[in-house]
Amino acid sequence: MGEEQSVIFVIDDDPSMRDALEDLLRSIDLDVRVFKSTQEFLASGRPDVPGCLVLDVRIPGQGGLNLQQALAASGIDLPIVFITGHGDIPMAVQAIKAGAIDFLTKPFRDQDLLDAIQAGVEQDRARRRDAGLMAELRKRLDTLTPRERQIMPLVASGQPNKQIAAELEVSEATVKLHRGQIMRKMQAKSLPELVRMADRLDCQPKASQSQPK
Amino acid sequence: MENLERRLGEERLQQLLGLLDLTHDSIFVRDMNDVITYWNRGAEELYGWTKEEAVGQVSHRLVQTVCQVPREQISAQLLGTGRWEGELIQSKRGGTTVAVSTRWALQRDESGNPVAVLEATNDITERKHAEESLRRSEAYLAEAQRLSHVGSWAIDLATGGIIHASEELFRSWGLDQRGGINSLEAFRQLIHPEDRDRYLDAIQTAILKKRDVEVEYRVALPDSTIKHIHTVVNPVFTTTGNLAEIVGTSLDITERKSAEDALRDAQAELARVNRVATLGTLVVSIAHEVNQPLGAMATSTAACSRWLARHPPDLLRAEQALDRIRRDCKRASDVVARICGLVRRQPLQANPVNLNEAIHEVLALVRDEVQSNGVSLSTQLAHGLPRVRGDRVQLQQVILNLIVNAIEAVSAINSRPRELVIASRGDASRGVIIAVRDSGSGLEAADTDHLFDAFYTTKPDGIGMGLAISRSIIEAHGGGLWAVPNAPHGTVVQFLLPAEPVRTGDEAADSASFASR
Repeated sequence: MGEEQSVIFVIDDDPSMRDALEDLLRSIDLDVRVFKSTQEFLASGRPDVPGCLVLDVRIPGQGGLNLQQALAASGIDLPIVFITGHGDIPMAVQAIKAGAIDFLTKPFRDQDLLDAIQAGVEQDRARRRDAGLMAELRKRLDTLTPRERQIMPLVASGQPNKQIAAELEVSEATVKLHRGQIMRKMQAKSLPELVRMADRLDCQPKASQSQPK
Repeated sequence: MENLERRLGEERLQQLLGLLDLTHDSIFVRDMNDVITYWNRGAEELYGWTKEEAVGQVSHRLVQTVCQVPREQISAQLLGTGRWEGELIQSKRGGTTVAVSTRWALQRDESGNPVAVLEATNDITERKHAEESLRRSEAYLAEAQRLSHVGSWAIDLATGGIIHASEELFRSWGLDQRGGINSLEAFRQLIHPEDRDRYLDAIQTAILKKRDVEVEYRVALPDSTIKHIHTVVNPVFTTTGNLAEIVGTSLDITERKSAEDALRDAQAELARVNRVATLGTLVVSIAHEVNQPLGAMATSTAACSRWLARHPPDLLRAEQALDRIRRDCKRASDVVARICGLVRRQPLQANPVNLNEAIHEVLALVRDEVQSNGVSLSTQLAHGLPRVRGDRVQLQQVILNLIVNAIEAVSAINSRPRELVIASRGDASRGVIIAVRDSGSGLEAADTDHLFDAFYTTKPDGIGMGLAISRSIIEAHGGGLWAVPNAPHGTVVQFLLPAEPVRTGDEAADSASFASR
């Protein structure tokens, strides 16, 4: 499966910097969109592809760090690489703590920027894969019957069939049957895989299965 | 017959003696033993002794003559020439002393023997007092001149000769007393060649316009020192309106001049230090200003390499990248040059200044500061401003100071937009007004009075020199700086610069009033 073409977003109010960044990224065949303000960026439509944001901290309108917070608050998970005209350690620390990929001071080595962008795009790809996988897992979970849903966490926690049967007051054979169904529906090829799936589903705030009682 | 002759002679004698009583002068006669034989009415009035009391007395005992010159000398002269005159101190009846001027004449008999001395005397006490007063006045005047370094002189215009030149004049001009300088021409030779014409013009003006004229000039002394002199020339006329003489005072202002120069240098240095300090607070913004073009250049360089590394190389894009680099390089060096210009020590300039351009340059420096504080800055710069002349760097310093203050004022506001407006407008009759308006919390009444005082600041770490220096810079340009409330919030700090008067092509006088100050 081929990788999706990523898009790099650049926000910098300095026209020279915008032109230079656009040119640099084009020279390595990246798809790049440039904006002169955060308003312009937020107002634009963003394609649903992996992406990364290159952002100058001091831009008019909303300051760069504020944008980072605003994006996080509205659920936009674009990785951010900060570039700035002067190095300010507190600012850098704040940015990194808030999850930025990197914090570069102008003039920076082009390779440092490209490495950071690549890391950002990778992170975004991974997140998107992850999100896709979660959606798939949830879909599979939905196909389980209530009884199967009840048994799955018990199986995943490593309890032997006999113990599960005793707890649920059913026969061991029934348990074995359900276990097989679960493995098939969840498309888990091994118990450890099932365990991993169960972990991930349990971590999701959207894991909304109410346990029958 | 003899009796008749004698009686006639006595009558005649009495008549003559009567005449002697008419004169105001004191006349008495003494014999060679100093005994008084004749005493006139004048003598009675002068000495207070009546004729009856005086005749028969020894004269020098009666009037207690005190003489500076030894008696032997007087006698010798009297016997030799028959005359003596001089000044004596004598006493009246009652003891009061009088100063007198007296003329003695020796009477000889037919054989040539001295028989009597006639003393004709005037009371000169009044005159002596007047002379003493005059001498004291002159001494006080000389002392006053010496203390105040003011000399005086008077010139007879008919002859060009010096009627009077006070001691202090010579002393303050550093000349040996009278040594060779005894004519107007000699004095004029000492005046610095560049100032001579101006000095002579002043004298002419005093004469023609019949009024006092002041002039300052330099004097070059024989030992090559230069002194600065301030003179007031006063023409003096006779009652018929003819010019008799000119008199004048001459004040040595050399020390004052060098103090003025030192003060001006100190002010310039202080202004420079303030510029450096202000720029220091903007270092972060300035670093940003410089790093922007540098960063763009670095990125363009990398892009250029990559375009060239392609197969085939993309020369067009590489060339475009190089154009961007060239542009950014100039941008960076412009910023550095501008900052160095503000920090450099340079003498006060008096050149035409394009104020709108100057404002734009300052705004470029503070752009980052404005943005990072979330301030919305707008300009209202009028076209066709009247021409202004001055020191561009210092004017930019004032503009920078006002903007930095306004940014601070407005950055404390959170409940409404942080707004700043820079405006320029022309006022044809008066010049150009530059105003900085902020939407801050405005001035307290107490602050308004002190805003422009030196060392006054409302900032915890402020020095408080910015506005004081700004005001003195604007005033040195012949303008004024003041603050008024802004509506609905905040403050307007503005200054007025006088427009250059429209000249009819006389460029030579351009720098006179300003740069030579």
